[in-house]
Amino acid sequence: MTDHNKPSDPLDDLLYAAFDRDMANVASIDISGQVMKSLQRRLRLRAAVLGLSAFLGLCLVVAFTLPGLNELLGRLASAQPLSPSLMAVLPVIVVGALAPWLLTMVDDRI
Amino acid sequence: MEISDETLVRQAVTLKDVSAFEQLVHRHQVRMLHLQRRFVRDHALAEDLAQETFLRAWDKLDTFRGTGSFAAWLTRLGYNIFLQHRRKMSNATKAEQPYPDDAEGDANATTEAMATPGPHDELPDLPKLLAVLPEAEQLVLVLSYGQGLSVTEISDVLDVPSGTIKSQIHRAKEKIRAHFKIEAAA
Repeated sequence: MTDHNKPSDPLDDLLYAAFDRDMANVASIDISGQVMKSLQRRLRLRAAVLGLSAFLGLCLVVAFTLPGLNELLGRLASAQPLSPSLMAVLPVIVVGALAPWLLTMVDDRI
Repeated sequence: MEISDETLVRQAVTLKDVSAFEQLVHRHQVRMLHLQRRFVRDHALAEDLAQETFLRAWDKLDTFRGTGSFAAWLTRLGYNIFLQHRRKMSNATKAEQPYPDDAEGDANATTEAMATPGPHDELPDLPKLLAVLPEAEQLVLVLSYGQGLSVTEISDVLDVPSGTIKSQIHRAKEKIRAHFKIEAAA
């Protein structure tokens, strides 16, 4: 278990043997399953929190831009020129559309 | 050929590969459990601290630069987790005693094994060997002989100069040698 290169000192032998025996006491314990289960649970929770945040963010963006969005779509449909105030709605829509991706950047494990 | 720790870390970080991380946990769990068991007396608590170390490792995996070994990086993390636990315990009424024996969380057994062992015991077990040393010297022996870290790696883990580590190891060995009447190598 312990890596060592043929110690010549009897005390080294004794210490390595003592540590090896001591480590053998825990060799049969497997915590990897519990670790991975906890990790998966944590990841799912984070994903849920981020997903919910993204959804709420999108709802907010849509709520704020809805009047402008309707007008924007109406003008685009009738091929009318866009006013500067309507143009300002576009970046907000882009940010809203990218919100889920931006939120995942908060934690790059997700 | 076995995939190196560094490759598995890269996979886990860049591909968010949970199975690569699982392999790392498999590889290092015994060492980490042993480390925490040397730190705390309670077996269940040692398992909790070992688990916490691996979960923290996942969170901080992208900070592993690969300049030293992954084992040393993980040991440092485990040591910090233990120190945090000890700080919490020091605020509680009963402080955790570091480096106690291997007893099953039994205070009496702890006292028994921490008692100074007789010098003529044959093949003394680890708690008895370590019991003759102060905490700092126990720690360097655990990291050196138990975790297999080099002096430089121990120096990084503990933030202590390499020279100090070397002399602590030397002092610790001399104390054990004297106490258990073990002859030095010819």
